[in-house]
Amino acid sequence: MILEQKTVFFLEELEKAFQVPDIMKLKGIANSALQQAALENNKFLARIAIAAYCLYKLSTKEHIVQNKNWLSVKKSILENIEKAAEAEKANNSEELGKRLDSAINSVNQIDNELGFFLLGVLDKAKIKLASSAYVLGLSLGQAAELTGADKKQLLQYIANTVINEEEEPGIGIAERLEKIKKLLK
Amino acid sequence: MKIVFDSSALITVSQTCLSKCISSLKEKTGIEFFISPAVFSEVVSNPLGIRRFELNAVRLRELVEKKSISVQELDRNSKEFFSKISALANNSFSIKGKALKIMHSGELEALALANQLHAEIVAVDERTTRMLVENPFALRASMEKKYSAQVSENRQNILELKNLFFQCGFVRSVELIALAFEKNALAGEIENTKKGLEAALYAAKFSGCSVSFSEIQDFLKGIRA
Repeated sequence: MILEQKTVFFLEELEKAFQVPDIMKLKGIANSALQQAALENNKFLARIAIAAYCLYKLSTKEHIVQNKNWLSVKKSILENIEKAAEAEKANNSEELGKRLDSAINSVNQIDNELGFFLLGVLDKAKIKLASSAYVLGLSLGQAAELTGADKKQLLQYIANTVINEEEEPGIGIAERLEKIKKLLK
Repeated sequence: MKIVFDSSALITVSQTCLSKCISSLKEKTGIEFFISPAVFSEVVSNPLGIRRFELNAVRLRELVEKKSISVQELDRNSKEFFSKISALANNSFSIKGKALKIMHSGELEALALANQLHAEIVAVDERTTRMLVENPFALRASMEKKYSAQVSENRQNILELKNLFFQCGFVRSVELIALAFEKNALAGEIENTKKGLEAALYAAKFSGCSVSFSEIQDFLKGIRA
């Protein structure tokens, strides 16, 4: 699949999954789009991944989906996803970016209004997906740059996962310490 | 001896409230610590305006103001060197002919600064930078597993990068904490006992240092109570 087709594919899948909503599919789209974004260093795909992850999270929150404003917000998000796909088909990357931003902003807005946490669903999505990019082999800075995550929050998030436990045993603390001590002599 | 910090190690040190051990280490060992302007922006200027991160930024700013850490610009040659290592690092691995951009300018700038200053050590807590230079083939194997796809390596680029930094060592915040413990540079911050060291090492781990439980446990076995 060439890149443009991948973007359209993910957007169309996202629209379908959010319409239902199919929670597990939304999560799957977030993961697949992120992997492709890391592979291609593509921020549009990263934004699709972020949108998918946010919609997955919001769709599981009872107090949000039962709110009287939710249906109109959902309609607006779906419209922006559809228009984003159209923009991509028309090779209009500026419009694609605007539509993705609008969809993500709608998510952020309703989460700010109704959410219970100071760290919102958008920030959580960025951090979660940046940690996935880090697992794929991107450096911390590159993973943060791709997703727009904050590096400090990302570092702390990673610290609370098993990511660092899975690392190949390399040079240990004692050996590295010994090297510094030799240099100090 | 000169040590250049990447932002990750500096974030961990400040997060563990052990930033003063940097000034103490400088006094007791004569180690000079450096950061690039980009790292300064990342760990001081930018977070100063964010309530959640303000405290760490203030702690680190104090280290710079007291000259425990120096901010050093990249010179013209180093900017060229930066472009060179950026091209090498981000063209070391590929999937189906597509080069993987794995490194960010922040980490590469720390490496370029280390080269400019002839620094013996780069302090970096994140894993990819360290593995790319120390163990690139393990990094490739790990990427292959995670992508479930064949990852090709550009052996020439990898070896050139390795050669450029063969004299440079990498440490993490945990090694700096262990050194501070040995030099009694943690005094005033935590008790200088095995328990104090253990607490500080685990605090670094839970603040983001890429170190495993087993590494810490192995190291502590060699420390007398």
